[in-house]
Amino acid sequence: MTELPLWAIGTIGAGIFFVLMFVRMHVGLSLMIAGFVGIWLSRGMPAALNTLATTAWRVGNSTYLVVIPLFVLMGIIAGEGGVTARAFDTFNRWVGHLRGGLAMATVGTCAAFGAVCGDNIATAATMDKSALPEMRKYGYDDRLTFGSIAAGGNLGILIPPSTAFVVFGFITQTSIAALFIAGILPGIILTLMFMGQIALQCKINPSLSAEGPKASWKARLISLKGIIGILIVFALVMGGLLGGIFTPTEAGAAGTVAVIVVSLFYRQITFKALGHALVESTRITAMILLLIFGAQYFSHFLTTSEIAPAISNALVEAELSKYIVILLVCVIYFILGCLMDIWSVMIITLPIFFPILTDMGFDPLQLGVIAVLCIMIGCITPPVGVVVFSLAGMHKEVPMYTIFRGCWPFVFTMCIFLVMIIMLPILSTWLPDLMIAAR
Amino acid sequence: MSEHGQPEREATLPASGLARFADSIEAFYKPVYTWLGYIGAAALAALVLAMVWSIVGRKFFGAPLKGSTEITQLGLVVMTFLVLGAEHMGHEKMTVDIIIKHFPRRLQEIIAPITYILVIAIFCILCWQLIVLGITYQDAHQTLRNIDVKIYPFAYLAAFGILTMIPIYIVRFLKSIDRAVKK
Repeated sequence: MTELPLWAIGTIGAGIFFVLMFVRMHVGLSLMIAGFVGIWLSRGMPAALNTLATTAWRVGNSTYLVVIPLFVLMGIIAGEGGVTARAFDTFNRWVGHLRGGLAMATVGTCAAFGAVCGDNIATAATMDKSALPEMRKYGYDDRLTFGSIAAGGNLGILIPPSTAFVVFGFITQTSIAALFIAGILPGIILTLMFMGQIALQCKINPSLSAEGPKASWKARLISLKGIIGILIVFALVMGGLLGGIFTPTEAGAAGTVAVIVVSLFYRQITFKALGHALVESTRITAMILLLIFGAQYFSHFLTTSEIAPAISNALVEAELSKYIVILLVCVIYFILGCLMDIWSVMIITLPIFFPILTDMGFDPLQLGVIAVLCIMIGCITPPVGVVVFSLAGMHKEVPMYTIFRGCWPFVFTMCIFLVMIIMLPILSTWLPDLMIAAR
Repeated sequence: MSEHGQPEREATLPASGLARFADSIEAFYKPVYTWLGYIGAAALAALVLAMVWSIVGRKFFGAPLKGSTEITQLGLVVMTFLVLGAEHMGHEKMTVDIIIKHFPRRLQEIIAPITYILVIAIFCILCWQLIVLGITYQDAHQTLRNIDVKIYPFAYLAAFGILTMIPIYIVRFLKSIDRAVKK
């Protein structure tokens, strides 16, 4: 232990983190090393050693986090099992004939797929396979094509089940089931706003898209069977959660089995695809958990230093309106989101901002939706938009710049929606309140 | 997120002894990690089945799977720690290169091995501490709350999972040294 004041140790720890991260060290490992040095300086080596292992163990066998691989698995199997392709066909028949209709169908399918998938990258990657060939066939502009896939894919973490809500719930100790319900209404509204925005874009610039063939009403009605699979799985998972039949973990497992059954019914899933889905899900989980581990260890250090209380006190003493404070927090997220992966930003900052904002009167569920929206924006904005990166990785022929440009109108829509969520907490809290009252 | 930029002319240079040694380590661990990945995937499959068993048992037979929550928690330990190596293979993920890419290449090549050494050090410490934790659980004969399953093997398994990541960073360290020396 040193004689340094805690604020100085806090600054040293934060400095080490930023230096390591900016010299291209894995973000989770940068947090781990900075946290280690910080705890060593503030509480001594035995504490640093002891908390390192106990934090890893606590994250590694967390009841909260065990749902992550299950919801990711559900989504990957749904994608491989033809659930998405059928849903896209349904939406295409209903809106595909409109100008920009295929992009709207893409967003609608993403929202529907989000109801069985907890991950935005998996949603975007799956939609890419179904929607891209169709949009290319009808000569859609790459900006609209990739923008709608990337932004639509993002709906995967707003519409439950969602890995982002799971992580938020873990860090802030908020009910995952309540967070899932809180995401439903905002998810539907944002989907409709995206569709409206696409219609407006195509009206202003008709060269962005083309009109597809119009399906008869009979064909449209028949096509509705394409989303039955998704509805069954969603009803099972959310119904089970809301009805108190399942815990979130059980809901993930039941949803996975339901998706497998639906995929078997469609006769599109193979053992190889199942194996691939299992391997991929564990990898995504390992990646997220390493990051959370680093962040938890670092936030353990932050609580021992005086950095977090100093920020909190500064905000309280400034006597700012709670709306100004939350906008400041969002601005901080956007700035940090330009420097590092937005997941890391949330995981690092939530332990600091969450108590401040709840003390100011914000509902934890509303904050959950706000946090997820910030993640969504960060995932499709440069320089570290992970969803855009994954799409660009799959389509080397398309410049990343084009995809980012295509995302800007969606980012604008999301910013408007973010303000709506901040000003109208009822959008996030009405449905959970209603469901809880009904129970 | 980024990949390490490899100097293009490097490919034309003959592989040094250091690079060949790094390649041989890599050739050894790649199949091992693939298999660990399969074990992790099997753990996930088992976890799904255990949960389904628990739901069906509770709802239809009034007999839920005993200790199902703890089983899933330990399942997460198996799948996460064993898959960490497989997840870390290949190009580096979750890194930020917005600043370092503007550094002179020489400076980047000096920084890279230092960061790898730090990572190796923290993994060694973490592995050691997880073993210590396992010993503590073993000495205390600690079992799960609802079923008589000992916890310490899982702590050792977590330590093993961390241990598997060390060779990856040793290889990256050797290759970064090799790149720096070739200049």
